[in-house]
Amino acid sequence: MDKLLITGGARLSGELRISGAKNAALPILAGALLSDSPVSIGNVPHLRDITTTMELLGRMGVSLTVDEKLNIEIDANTIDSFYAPYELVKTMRASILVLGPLVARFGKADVSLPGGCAIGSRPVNLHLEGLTAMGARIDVKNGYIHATADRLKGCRLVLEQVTVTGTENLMMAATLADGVTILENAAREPEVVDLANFLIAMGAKIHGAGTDVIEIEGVPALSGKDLHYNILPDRIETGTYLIAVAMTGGKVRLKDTCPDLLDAVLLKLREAGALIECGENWIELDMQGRRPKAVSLRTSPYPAFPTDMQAQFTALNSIAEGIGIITETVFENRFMHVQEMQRMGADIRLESNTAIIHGVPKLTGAEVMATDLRASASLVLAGLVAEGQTIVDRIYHIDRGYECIEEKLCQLGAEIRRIPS
Amino acid sequence: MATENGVFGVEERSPGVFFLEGELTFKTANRVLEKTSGLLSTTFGANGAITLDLSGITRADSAGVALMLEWRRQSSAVKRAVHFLNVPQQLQAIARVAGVDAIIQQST
Repeated sequence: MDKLLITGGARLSGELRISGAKNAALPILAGALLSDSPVSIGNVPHLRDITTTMELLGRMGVSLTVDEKLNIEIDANTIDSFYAPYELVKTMRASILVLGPLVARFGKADVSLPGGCAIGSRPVNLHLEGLTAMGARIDVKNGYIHATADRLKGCRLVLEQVTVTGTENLMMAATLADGVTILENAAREPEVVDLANFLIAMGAKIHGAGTDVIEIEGVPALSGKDLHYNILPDRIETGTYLIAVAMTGGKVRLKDTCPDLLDAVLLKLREAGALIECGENWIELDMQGRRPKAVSLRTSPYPAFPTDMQAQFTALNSIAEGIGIITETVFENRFMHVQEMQRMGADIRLESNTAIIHGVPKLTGAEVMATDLRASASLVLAGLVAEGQTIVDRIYHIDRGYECIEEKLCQLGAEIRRIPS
Repeated sequence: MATENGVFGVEERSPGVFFLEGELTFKTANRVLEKTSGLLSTTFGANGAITLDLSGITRADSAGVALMLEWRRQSSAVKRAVHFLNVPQQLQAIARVAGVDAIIQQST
């Protein structure tokens, strides 16, 4: 397995371009199944999960082409299989997102249950309950969801808990249903809005995306003809690089991003002592060589502080001045990076779902192991400020969500390189 | 060497070493395949290997990656090695997105 070797101590500075959001691209690629004509999607990040999704669609017989600008054109009219196998779904839980579109447009789907997840319980029962309420017939057998349906019927769905992929799957399914569907307690994340905008561009009738009540009036068909849709910038990648620069006392300008999506994160970075300026599609952060101050936060669904940034702020707090308290309310096992950071000299105490972090002046480099995507990013950040060398193992996790992370950090002056397996 | 209709051309510059010029795209893929089929089974370079120099490729999309995979497949069928030289960045990037970069890796 590949590893990353990081020599800490460089003050990061420069300019970076932010990639498209993986968490917007994945449902949008699945949503292309709904279109009765080819649709072109741009600003797609080049990540393992994107490749996996393309493989999944390709195995179903969907035609995918990648043009010279790395835009992906998807033509679902060539589909000849409605089967998402365990060997792919187990590597990427988001594969479940093909379920809604397949049932809605083709009336059938056989999708593997995703199985367990390292960071916590993420059941798909809400997806299945929603589709059943819309008239799908669902049978879960031998680890697979077998779904069939005549045309789905619109209805009122109250989601028991906020679920991003649940909202997305049901929203996609409802676009072709007969009648109106109302999703209550819907996820409000910007990636849900991006999916809704994509579907609307194909002719869907959706109101309220970005709020906790989404109304979808079903239409007979969706068409991506002549549509080229660019994926939203990745707010988590943006936040991660901002924190990297803040931790090293540096200065950066991030381009092709969307500051409006990061209110909660920018607020915390300002509290940590960063000077931040924003334009329409750029963010500039300057720590002026200072050590960050510790911040406290509590994760929650959007627009509150994102769980996907919790590990990165844990890393920031580990070398910040003062004590920071981080409470994780979204996933019950999302502190696996803490033990690895403790190996680097971080002073962190865990009490149930809360991490109490006493900032230390210096971390020391160590061999550490990544356990999930954002934890792995936090270990890289810790390595950037640690004394000596840090080796982060199992970086296949990080490759799932960060496009060219070592190249981008090198661009900012970090000493980081990949050690191939 | 002039490309045919300005689109694609192939020229043997030394035994078993072919210089490819033009586009490897959906527009040209079928013609490229026609022009190159047979090369891999009938031409012999050093140690029986074939080298395809792609430095003359001006444009490529995923059809270009598919062609490279097809050349690998054809060479494998006749138990002959095919080496790729000077693979354009664009092709490498598309291959990475498609998850096949290891298969079309260029020779050093």
